[in-house]
Amino acid sequence: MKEYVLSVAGAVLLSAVAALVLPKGKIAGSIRFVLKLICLLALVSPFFTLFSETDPPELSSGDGYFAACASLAERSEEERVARFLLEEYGVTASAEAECEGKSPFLVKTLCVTVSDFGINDAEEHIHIIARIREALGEEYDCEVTVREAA
Amino acid sequence: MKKSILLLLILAALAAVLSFSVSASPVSAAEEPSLTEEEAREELLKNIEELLNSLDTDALEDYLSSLGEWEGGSLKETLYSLISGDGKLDYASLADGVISLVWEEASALLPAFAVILAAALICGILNSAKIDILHSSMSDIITFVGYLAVGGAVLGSFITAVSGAFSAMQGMKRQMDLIYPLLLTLMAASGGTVSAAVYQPAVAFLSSGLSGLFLSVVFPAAVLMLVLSLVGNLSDEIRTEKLSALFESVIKWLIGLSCGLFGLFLSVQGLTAAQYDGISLRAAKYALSSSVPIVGSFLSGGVDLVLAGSALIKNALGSFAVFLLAATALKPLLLLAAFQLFLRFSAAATEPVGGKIPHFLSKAAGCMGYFIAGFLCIAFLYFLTLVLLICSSGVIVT
Repeated sequence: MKEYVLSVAGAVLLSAVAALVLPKGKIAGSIRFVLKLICLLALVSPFFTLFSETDPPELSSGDGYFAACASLAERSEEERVARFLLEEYGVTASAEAECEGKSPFLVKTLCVTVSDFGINDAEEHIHIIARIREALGEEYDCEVTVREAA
Repeated sequence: MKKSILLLLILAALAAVLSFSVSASPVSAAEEPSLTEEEAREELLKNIEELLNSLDTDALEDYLSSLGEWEGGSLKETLYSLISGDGKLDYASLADGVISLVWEEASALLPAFAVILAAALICGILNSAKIDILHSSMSDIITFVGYLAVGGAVLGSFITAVSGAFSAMQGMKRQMDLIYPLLLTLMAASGGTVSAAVYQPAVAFLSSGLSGLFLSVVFPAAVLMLVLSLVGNLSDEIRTEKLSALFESVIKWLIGLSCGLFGLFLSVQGLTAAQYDGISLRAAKYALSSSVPIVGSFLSGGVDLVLAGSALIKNALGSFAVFLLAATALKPLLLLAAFQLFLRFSAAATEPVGGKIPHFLSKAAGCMGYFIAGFLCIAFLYFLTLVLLICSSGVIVT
């Protein structure tokens, strides 16, 4: 900016002084014309930078952050499912959730492994599994797999 | 000048709105939070810390390190302290700092204006002595030299003031390039997918198109007006009023269109997009939880922590960006305003002695007004965009 101001001021002042000092005549007129062209070029030089090709700023996609959010959402949902099953059905289970990679990070698939049915009889296991599958399927509206741990 | 004051008032009003919207709600001493709420708060803060660690802020940290004035340490720690409420702004020291900055900038201009006043006084005395003592042409030459001395002093101070403003403009552009991608990522992660898609081209246009336009056209045009006003008073044969008026018209149109159209478009588009995001998000949550009313609210809360955490980080980063903008823009703005004030003061002080100097000083003060207006325009649009990016989360989440 400093260079621009000094170059413009210098060019305009030089042409102004020349206009005052030069005697009247054809050559003086030509010199004044050339000086005015130089002034004009100095004046408009920054305008050319507007048309120069510049790369637009790269707006990063944030894939790394979205992946971290999805991972956090998966862990959070797995903990909540495990707590819910313990409180609602009295079973100890672990869940594996897979969430979407973009907001709002909804659960795509859910896999529940029941390791301990608690006080429930062996005949009840299959019914409990069906009820869990139905409840989680309605809740998350996604593919839910429930199995008993080996 | 009136427009500059109006813009400043609008800025102050928006800053007041922002401070209310991002301030944490106080917790009454009489109501201790229950254990469940305390656990939920701790879980949220833990999630926020994890999300902050996964956010790529290397480029912004490098920029902050390059600023000599930045002593805030790690950016992520600063953001965390803003979110958790530990970060506090010391308003007393801030006010003292601003006052000392104003005095410092004004003091730096005193020598130049002493030269201006002295030269104007000498020219005025010589003008009165033209008929009695000095030969007319000798007096004209001395007046011409005195005018050039004043012009040189004004140009010297002008270059200092404008260089600072130019650097600040480039700094603001750099900040836009660094902060907008982060804010848009956080906005998308907090449920504002449509809002982020709407804002992305707008912020790209602001950071590259409008900023480049002001740096390439408006500021150089204001410089031209000053130089033309200097040259126009050199001789009666040199006429520059019409050319100066042309550039003045160009500047007014560009500033008016930029502030008015772009600001309006951004505000309307952004808020309507945020409304759409809010409705979409609520519809998704209702679809999840409507089938099992009691269980739904328990189960579907896991994602809310992620959305809320991203929204809080976005708001904290936006608030930090506003403070950074204020820190970047304040010093050059004060210098420009002080310079304009001194020019007007000098014009008034030299008016009794007559001559071309008061007219030139008055025109130069007018040119400074356009500089200030252009600078404030970009700063205002940047500030407006930040406020919209911050406040849109309130529409989405509620």
